[in-house]
Amino acid sequence: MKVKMIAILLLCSIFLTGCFSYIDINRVIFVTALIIDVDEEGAPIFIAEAFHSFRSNETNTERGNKVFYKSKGETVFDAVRQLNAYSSYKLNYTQNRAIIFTERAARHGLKEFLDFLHRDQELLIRTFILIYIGNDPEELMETNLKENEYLGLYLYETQENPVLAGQRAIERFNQYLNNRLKGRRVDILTTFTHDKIMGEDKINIAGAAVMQEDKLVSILSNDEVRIYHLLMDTLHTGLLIVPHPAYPDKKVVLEVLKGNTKTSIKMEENTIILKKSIDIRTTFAETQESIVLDQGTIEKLQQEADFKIENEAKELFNLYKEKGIDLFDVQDIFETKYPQVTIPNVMEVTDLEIDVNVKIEGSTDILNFR
Amino acid sequence: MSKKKISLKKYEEHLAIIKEQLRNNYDVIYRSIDTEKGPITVIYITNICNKSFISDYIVKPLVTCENIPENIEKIKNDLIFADDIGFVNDVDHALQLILSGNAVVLFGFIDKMIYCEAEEYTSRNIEEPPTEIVIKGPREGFNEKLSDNISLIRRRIHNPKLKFEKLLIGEQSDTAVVLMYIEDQAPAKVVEFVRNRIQKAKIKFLLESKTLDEALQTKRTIFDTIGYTEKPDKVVAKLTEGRVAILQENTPFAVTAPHFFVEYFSVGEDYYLNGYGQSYFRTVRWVAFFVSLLLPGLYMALIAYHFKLIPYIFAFRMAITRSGVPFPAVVEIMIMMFFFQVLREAGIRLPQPIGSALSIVGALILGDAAIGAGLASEITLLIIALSSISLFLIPKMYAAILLWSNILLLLSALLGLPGFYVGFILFWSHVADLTTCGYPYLYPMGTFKTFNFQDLILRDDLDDISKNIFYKDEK
Repeated sequence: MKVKMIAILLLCSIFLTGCFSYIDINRVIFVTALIIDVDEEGAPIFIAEAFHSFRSNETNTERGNKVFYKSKGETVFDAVRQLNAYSSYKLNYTQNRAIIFTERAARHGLKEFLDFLHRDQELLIRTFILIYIGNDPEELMETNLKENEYLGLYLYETQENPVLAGQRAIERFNQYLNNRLKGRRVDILTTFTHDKIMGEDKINIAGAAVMQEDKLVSILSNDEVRIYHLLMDTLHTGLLIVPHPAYPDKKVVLEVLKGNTKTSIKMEENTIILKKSIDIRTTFAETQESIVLDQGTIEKLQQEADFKIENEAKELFNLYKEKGIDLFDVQDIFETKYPQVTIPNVMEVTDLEIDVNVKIEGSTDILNFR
Repeated sequence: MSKKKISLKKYEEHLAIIKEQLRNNYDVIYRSIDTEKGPITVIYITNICNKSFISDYIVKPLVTCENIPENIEKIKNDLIFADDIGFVNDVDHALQLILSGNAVVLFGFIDKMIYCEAEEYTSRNIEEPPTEIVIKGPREGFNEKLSDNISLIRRRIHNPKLKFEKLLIGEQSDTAVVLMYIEDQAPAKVVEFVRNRIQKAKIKFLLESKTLDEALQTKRTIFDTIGYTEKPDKVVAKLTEGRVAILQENTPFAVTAPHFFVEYFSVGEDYYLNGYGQSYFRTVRWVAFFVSLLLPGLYMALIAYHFKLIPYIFAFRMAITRSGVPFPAVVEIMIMMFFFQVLREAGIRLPQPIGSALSIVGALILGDAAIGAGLASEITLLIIALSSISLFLIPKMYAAILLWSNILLLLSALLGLPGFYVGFILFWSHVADLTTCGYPYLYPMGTFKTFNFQDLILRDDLDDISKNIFYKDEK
């Protein structure tokens, strides 16, 4: 028993942070979204959307409220501390679901903000990181979304929605912390805009921000993100729209069931060849004009899809090659294969060789349409 | 001095001692019979003996006999008609026999005493024990009469290897205790262990089986390392598995040993109803055990330290429901646990019809009132209610789980999840440290030895489990 008592005392000493951290769940204010902006001088501005529970003495009921906080500081930590100056209870970040950088902050660079967000134990590193394309973060916070009262929770739910995953650059904060250090330090982050549709506030999550050295350098459209995912072997769902084999002005849609991309790299004299072998399993999803899905038609559709993907991929690759941005991690792939060879900018001397193999496996329901 | 005079003097001495020892007892009867050979006295206690039996088969033959033989063997064999008859060694033996419901006969012309068994107690009927009610299966339960209880066992096993050893325990109570086991089935070391422990126990008055239970325990603990039951079918099942059982006069509870931790999760129906269904229900009992033990502590740790582990929808809801409660969560939980214990105690102590009504009132009204008064939140009430109800699935472990769930709660309140883990490890290290009759209490868990225990979480076929449960080499 004495041994047990000593063990308990030792363990208590080791974990003595315990009772100092005791705080009841109703005595904190839960931050659900954090917007980081910068002023003209580059000082961080923090805007927090938070959940606050309280008992109303007017209605004699327990309620939860959405509250906002805004502060400015010399550093991120300073700004975060300042947020508490306006709150009755301590702000708690364990339920934060989205870290949002404004376009202005992203162009300024995320680097000086990341250390605190990573270092503080309370801030979750599995939360999503997004870039807001817009000028007014306060207007964004005041967005009245009907699907969810809280912007942070809404964004979290949209990121988990698999339907449009192929058009987005879904990235959690911890993934970004890893990817930002790879190769030539290029990564993409989800972007979103605030729109009004039929009088209702809407959040449109589309495209991606290309981040180089933690700075926003370019923006990808939805289609470009889809091609990016294909080339990077991260495409899980999506659509391929190809011309109708018999009616060139009409379209046929193939739904992607599974994509698989194999990457290899080889050095040939002064050039480097990046080879991508893309296998895509699709199903026939829609046609605008009648079609007979015989073997010949299927082969023709497959060729059309192969051709389309190859063209789009080469176009995107060459675009970023010209910009000098290593969007496809070529540097990292090259250094992994040839660790002894030092080439400062591999992308400059790399050509893309692509082999696409689209396979139509069947139809969603009916085989023909007349 | 002639032989007759010596006998008469001894008779008077013995009678005087017995009268002195049993003075101030209104129910002790001294029936004197004067014969031409000398005086005879029949001594018995009227409340524990069959008076008409004594009158018809002991007193009447002595009174009506014209020529009483002076040979004690002749009196014993030819004159007295009682079945169970024997010689008394000395006055102490005589006193013990009288107090046990025998009639002792003293002769003024023979220097020996005889006794005749004539006990007759009023005893309770054989009824279904209220603590071990079954849906299907035998409904008999022990009563307070040892002979009735033994007959219930005897009726179930007709085997010469089933042994009943009678021991008199209690320095001053001399209570009859019967040690039961099946020879060759029960390990000899277990039988020896139990016998020695009982005989060496310093017990003055043996009133209830708990005294024997404590004598058999090797370590002070809140867990039952010795089993008990009111049902003969359970005792028989345990005997066939190689265990030892002890029956005692004046209690309906039989003590069984060894008793393992896993036995808390077995009930009679496990063996009387469909095995698949019962395996499921036993799994539910295991889950309920973990719920009742861990849930309050885990809840405490999560709502005071580790918000990040709670899904946001639930976290916000918890925060809202707690916002009207002025106390810290640990005080709130303690208050609610206290409420449930008060309700339970009241429910048990009150007569059954009122007790069940009180439970309903308590559950429905008191809980609602506590929330309305701001003493507790709905979620806390739910957690404590779930944890407390789960306790009822393993009633024999009630106190043990209650104590340990409180320890886990306090450690969690002090240290959060690390405290919870410390409490959890302490719990299992304590249980693993216990032994029962020399066997690890957690047996068959936590041992690499080959064992025949096919009855842990899932119930195997009855043929496979109704065998020796101990290590193969001990069979």
